[in-house]
Amino acid sequence: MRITGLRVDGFGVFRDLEIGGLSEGLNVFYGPNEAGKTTLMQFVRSVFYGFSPERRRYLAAVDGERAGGTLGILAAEGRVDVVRRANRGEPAVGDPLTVNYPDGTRQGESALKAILGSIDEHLFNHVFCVGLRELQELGTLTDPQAAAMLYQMSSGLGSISLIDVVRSLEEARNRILDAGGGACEISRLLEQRNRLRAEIEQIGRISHDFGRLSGEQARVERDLAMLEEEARRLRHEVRLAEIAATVQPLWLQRDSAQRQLAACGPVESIPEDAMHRLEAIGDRLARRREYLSRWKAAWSRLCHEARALKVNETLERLAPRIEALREQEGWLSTLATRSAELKTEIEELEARFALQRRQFGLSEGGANQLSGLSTSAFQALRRPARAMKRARAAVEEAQKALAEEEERALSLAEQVEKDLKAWNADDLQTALKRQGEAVSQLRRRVQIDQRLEQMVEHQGQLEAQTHRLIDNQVMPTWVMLSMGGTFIAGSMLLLTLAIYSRGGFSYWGWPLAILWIVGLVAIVSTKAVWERASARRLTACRRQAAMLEAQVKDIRREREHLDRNLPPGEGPIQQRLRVAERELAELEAFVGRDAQRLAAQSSAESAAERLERAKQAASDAHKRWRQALASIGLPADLAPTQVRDLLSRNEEMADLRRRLEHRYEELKQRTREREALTRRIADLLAEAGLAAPPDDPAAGLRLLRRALAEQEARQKRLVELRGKARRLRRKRKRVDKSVRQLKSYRRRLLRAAGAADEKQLRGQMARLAEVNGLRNRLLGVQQQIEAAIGGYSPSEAIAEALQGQSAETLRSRREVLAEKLAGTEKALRQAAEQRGRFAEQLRLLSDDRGPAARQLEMNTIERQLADALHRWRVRAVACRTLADLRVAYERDRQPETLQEASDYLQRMTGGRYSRVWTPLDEDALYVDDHEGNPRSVEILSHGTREQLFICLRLALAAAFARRGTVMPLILDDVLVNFDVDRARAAAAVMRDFAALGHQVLLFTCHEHIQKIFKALKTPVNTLPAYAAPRRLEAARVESAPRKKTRTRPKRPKRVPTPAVEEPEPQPALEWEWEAEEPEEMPAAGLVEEPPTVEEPEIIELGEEDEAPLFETSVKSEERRFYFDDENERPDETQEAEPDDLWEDTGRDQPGDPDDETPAEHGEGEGEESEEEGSEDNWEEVDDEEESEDRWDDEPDEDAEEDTEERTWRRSLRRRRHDDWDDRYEDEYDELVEEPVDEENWWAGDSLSDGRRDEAYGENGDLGDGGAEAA
Amino acid sequence: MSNRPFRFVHAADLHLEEVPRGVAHVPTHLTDLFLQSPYRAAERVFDAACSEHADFLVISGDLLDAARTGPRGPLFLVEQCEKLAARGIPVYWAGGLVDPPEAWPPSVRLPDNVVFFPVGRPEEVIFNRQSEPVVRLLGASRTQGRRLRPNEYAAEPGGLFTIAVTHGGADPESLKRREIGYWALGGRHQRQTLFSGPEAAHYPGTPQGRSPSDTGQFGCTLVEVDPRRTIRLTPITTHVFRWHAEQVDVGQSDTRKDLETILRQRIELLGQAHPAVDSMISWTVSGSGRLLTAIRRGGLADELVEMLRKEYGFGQPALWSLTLEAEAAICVPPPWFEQETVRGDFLRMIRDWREKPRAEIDLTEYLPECYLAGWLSAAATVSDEQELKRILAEAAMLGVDLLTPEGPES
Repeated sequence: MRITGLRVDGFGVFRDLEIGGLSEGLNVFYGPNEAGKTTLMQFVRSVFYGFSPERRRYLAAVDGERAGGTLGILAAEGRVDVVRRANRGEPAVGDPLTVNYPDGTRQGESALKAILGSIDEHLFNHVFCVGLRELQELGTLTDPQAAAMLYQMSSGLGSISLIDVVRSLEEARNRILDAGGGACEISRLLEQRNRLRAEIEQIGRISHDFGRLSGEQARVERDLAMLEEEARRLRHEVRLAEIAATVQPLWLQRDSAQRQLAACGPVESIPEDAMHRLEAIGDRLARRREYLSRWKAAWSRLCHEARALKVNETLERLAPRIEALREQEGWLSTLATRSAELKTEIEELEARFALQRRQFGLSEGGANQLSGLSTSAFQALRRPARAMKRARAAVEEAQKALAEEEERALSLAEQVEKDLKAWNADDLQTALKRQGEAVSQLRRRVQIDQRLEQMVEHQGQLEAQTHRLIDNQVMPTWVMLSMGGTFIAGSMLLLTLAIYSRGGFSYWGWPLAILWIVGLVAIVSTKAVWERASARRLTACRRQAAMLEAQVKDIRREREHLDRNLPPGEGPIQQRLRVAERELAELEAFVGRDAQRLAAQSSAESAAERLERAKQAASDAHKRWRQALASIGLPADLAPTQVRDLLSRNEEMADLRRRLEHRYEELKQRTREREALTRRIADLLAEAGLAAPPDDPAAGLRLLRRALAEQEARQKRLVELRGKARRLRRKRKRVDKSVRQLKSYRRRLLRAAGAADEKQLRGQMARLAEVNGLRNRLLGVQQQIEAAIGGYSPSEAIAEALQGQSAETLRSRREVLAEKLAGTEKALRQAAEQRGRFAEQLRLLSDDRGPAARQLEMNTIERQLADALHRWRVRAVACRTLADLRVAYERDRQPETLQEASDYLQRMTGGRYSRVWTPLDEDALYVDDHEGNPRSVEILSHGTREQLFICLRLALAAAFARRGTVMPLILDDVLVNFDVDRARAAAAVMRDFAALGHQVLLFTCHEHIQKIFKALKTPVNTLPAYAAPRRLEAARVESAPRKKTRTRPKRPKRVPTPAVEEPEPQPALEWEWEAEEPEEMPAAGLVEEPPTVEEPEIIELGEEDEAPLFETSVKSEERRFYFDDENERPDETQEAEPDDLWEDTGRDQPGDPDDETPAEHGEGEGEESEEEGSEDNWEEVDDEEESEDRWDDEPDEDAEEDTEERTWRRSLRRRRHDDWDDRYEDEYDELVEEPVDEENWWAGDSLSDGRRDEAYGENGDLGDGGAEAA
Repeated sequence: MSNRPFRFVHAADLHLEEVPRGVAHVPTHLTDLFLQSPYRAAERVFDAACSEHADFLVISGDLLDAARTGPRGPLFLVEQCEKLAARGIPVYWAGGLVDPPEAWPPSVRLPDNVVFFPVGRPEEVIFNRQSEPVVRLLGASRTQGRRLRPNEYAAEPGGLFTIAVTHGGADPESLKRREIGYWALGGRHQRQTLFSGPEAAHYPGTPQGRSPSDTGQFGCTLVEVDPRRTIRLTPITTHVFRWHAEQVDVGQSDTRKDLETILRQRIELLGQAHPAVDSMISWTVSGSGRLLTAIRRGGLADELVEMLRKEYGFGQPALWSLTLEAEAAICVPPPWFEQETVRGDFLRMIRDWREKPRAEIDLTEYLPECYLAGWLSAAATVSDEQELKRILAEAAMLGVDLLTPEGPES
């Protein structure tokens, strides 16, 4: 991934800053302090990872909607734009991010994460996007911290040290289970568990004591059981003796009663209330016979009334049709009303249509023809209309230009004339020539003066030079003395040598002599040359002086001649020359104005010619316009504005016409419907045999309705009578059934009593009463005996005890037994006490919850132990994993990175430091110097450490790139603390690093660093200078105009958002020649958007012409119009002329096939009628369903009756109102509802037949259970 | 032979000697409940036999370990059996693993209504009602180390309905082939019906759950057999308190207040759903977010549990929160696994470990020498797959917590 450009809409000091054309390699940005270098770095971080709280301070001075920007990147997916906006409202919501792909698709955070891959924010900020602060932060650390930071940088751990993590884990693990065997949680728990185990084993001995006690208790229990058995037997015998003595008299009475009952013999079983029931049945039978006599009378009355009712069958058959017509009664009146309304409306519409036609001068046929015009026909007017507009505009423009040129020519002519008068010249050329000659003469005069002055000065100089040359003809004294001295000294030396040498000159004598001779010759020749040169210069000087004097004379003569010819004037020559030159300049300027005058005259003539041509073109255009109008059948005198009005109102006219046609059609329809109804009513009247007014269907309908109502009343009464008859029949059947039932009951009663008739039954009842008296007496004695025994013993045991015993014998036996019982009970109490003591001891043992409590405590310890062991396992596994990971890092990843960092460091330090390394098992970082001596990072100099850490980052970035994660390296002022040599070396390393394919963006504020990079032939981009925030706004405003030299004036960039979302500027929907009336445009659906887009400042970087970062743009000066409705926006892909009238307004044109058409109207009406029909059908269906439901509720109806009649009758039946004989009904209800329990009749009110049979037994005797049940 | 309807209560695995386990701390006010729970649940079994008018009670093993209960267990059992004897309800008891016939203390005499099936081959007992045989019971106590042998049990063709009473497990098909009317089985603490239809084989489960994993209802079963030999099983709840395992989901945006609200709502719903018994609740929080991280790191979980105990743990019924733990799952964003960071490498190593088949963790190297020969040595080796995955998941999240300064964001 690399960054291709960025656009800052609002971030920190930047507004609308766009930087493009970033190269793949090294990009150096130079800018002074506060230029925004760090801001750019933070901007990149913000776009990638959001506006963190730290970075939100860059948004403080930015407008809310403009905070953020775009980063253009080239990723594996292609060129994408990453746009992030700051959410100023709710930070929790997050900052919206959009990733725009070249194909127009947009994605969000996930796409950016996919692009960034495994690089998280911390890693990016500490390895790939590094500022001076991050560098210094690392540089001030000690070596263990540096090593840890190295791990962090390579692992993205942030502020967490891997070593610390491992150590903390080990400590936590050891707290749970100390690897050294010291005190820990698990050891403590184990001790507790062992203690509890011992306690539980101790408690197990309780069971032994329990066994012993249980044995003792069992023995006592056995003794106790034997004693209890003995006591129980004795108590029984005592009690038996007491009972025998008590019941002895009653026993004798019972024997006597039994003997009497046996003497009476068997008796039939008869209910006691048999006679009462027989009489009740007789009463009920009498009441039913009386009721039946009254029923016959009522039935005859009902039949008579039914026969008196007569029904018109024809009218009854026609009833549904009449009912159907009744529903049309309202519709009939509506039809009449609606027909009248339609006639009135048609008249009004015709009047309005005629008025419209007259307004546009259209005949009736023309109006009809206009309605038939299609859009294409109107489009044929577009071209001549536009041509006529252009021609008119051209005429107006030519007229305007002609007027302007004529006015200008006239103005210039007046001014020239006025100036000539001021110069007193009739001819401008003469005056100009004269003034030019005067100026040249004056200039010559001034030149002569200057020349003369120079000659005089030169003449003086020559005279002085002549005097000096004359003086120089004699050699100066010091020269003469030096030469003479030299000659004398040489002669003396030569002479001395000659004198003191033996036999001539010595070894040194001859060379000295030669030297003396040479020196002498030189001195003589020098003197001669000197004198000759002086003479020659003097001669030349004198000759120049003579020539100069002659020239002076000539010039003075010339000056006098000029003075004579000079124009008259006063003052010095220089002043006169300046005046003359100014006058000459004025004259020259005057020449320009005259030329302008002539040019203006020529332009006026040309404008006049253009005006003529424009008029001719306008005339032609007007002819074509009239021809076009005539071709589509419109009056030729219509103006375009009228046509536009006609167009705008054509729809209205067409609508009027359609409405008129619809009204006509509706009137016809209504008339037909009314006639049809009238025919149907007349037919019904004739069929029903009724007479009605011929042309009044309403009266006929009313007559039918009245006849039908009378018929309905008769039907209703008939139905009521039928219902009453059915009810009478049902009641008769139930009464007959009741009579049969009562007779059956009477027969069963006599048969059960075994009597043939009522008399025999009474005799049997008297004998039964005597037997029952004996039975009651026997029962009383038996109850007394049983009460005395009290259920203690069976009667057989009592009888055995009484067998042959007297009362005295019984008493003495009871006393003996009582004494034995007292002894036994005493022994029993003693045994029970002993058992109670044992039971108490056992209870104490059994209630001991010690084992359970210990077990519960043991369980809790076990659980704590399991928890602790689990936590220990988790921490041990984490420790193991991290330890393995650390070893892998030290073994695999670190050397690779450090080796590369070592190479960079060696280059940066010029070989002074050769290696960066860290021991495998230490947290230290070391650097070897050129001699191989390791040095800790903390003893390195400040600059060297920063070099080291830059090298580490370069190595890490390269390492990530090798693993497939290629990211740009952004460095902000990281070379600021380097001296020139270090900076040069670092720059070279970065250049080479970038040359390997790594994109590097380096920001610096130092000119010398900039120069270093320039020296390395690396292009340096200069950032614009920004003032402090207070002056920022002014700077931004000043930088906005296009005239700025670094601003690209040719094509403004489009603002990414929202302009990206906006459509292209839409063509103005207007008549071309009426653009001055925008309020008349069909702009109801348009919104004018003010031009709010500021002109962005664009900085062109580099010479490479990159593709523009943002493709869409709008001119800020444009007045843009957008549709309110997104759907109404014209398709941008269509090629439409910018001022296409018909295309934009086509959808509203009256002839547009997309609009309402007669066919569509017909279809719409058809749909409407179909819907109405559907609703009617539904109503019918509902009625049918309801009828079926009602039919199902009444299954008794005759099948012959048709559905409608049944429905009608059922509705009448619902309102049942029986006024026949209320008293008769009440009596019937009393009879029918009288309780006759068939099941329980014989057994009375509580027993069924079966239970009664069971209670009385087969022979009618009352058994024990049966008597109780009865 | 006429078929007469009958009904009986089937219970098993009463385990009077076992008090609840798996709880690290038992509060004072619940100690008595914990200690009494096996006895009170067993007492409800006997009460159910009375209240349901059962013809007899069948106990399929593991009633009590007399050596561990002390005298309390046998005496309690004798007392309950006497209660049934007073109502004429016999008890048919087949011993299980902890209660073979020989383990019954000789000094304690069981009432006469108790029939204790011997060890070995099944013994036949006929249950009579009004001197008429109603049902035939075949029962045997379990022999240590011997599995249930279905072939030893045989139905009576065309005869009485047969009930096999025993303890242990066997293949359902082999049991079904024996055409025994009802297999009254014991040995499984969770209620389970192996098959049902004309015949049935059923484990009623233990009357009282004894560990936090024993969630749900516990009790015995009322078995009703109609004249057509149709079996109807009706569970009878006997537990005196319930164990609940509640799971709560938290999201990214949830706060502690939200979680507290959720916990309160859930615990109140539990109280409303089970108003008659106390509840022991184990909370598991799943989902994602910083709240989950805070719970996993501790502190917050303790505070929440304390809050819940204070508000609901001392009421009537008591809703006692036992633990509140984060779910043992690796809940980190998937991209973290692919990051080129220590955390990413750490997660990848854990993932590789989890995906390794038949993986085993040997942590003996971290054990002190004094424990190398003890049971801790075995505990330091984890080979169980589920336990291993759980440990790795928790280790992963522990590592993520430690390697992420601000904690996992999701």
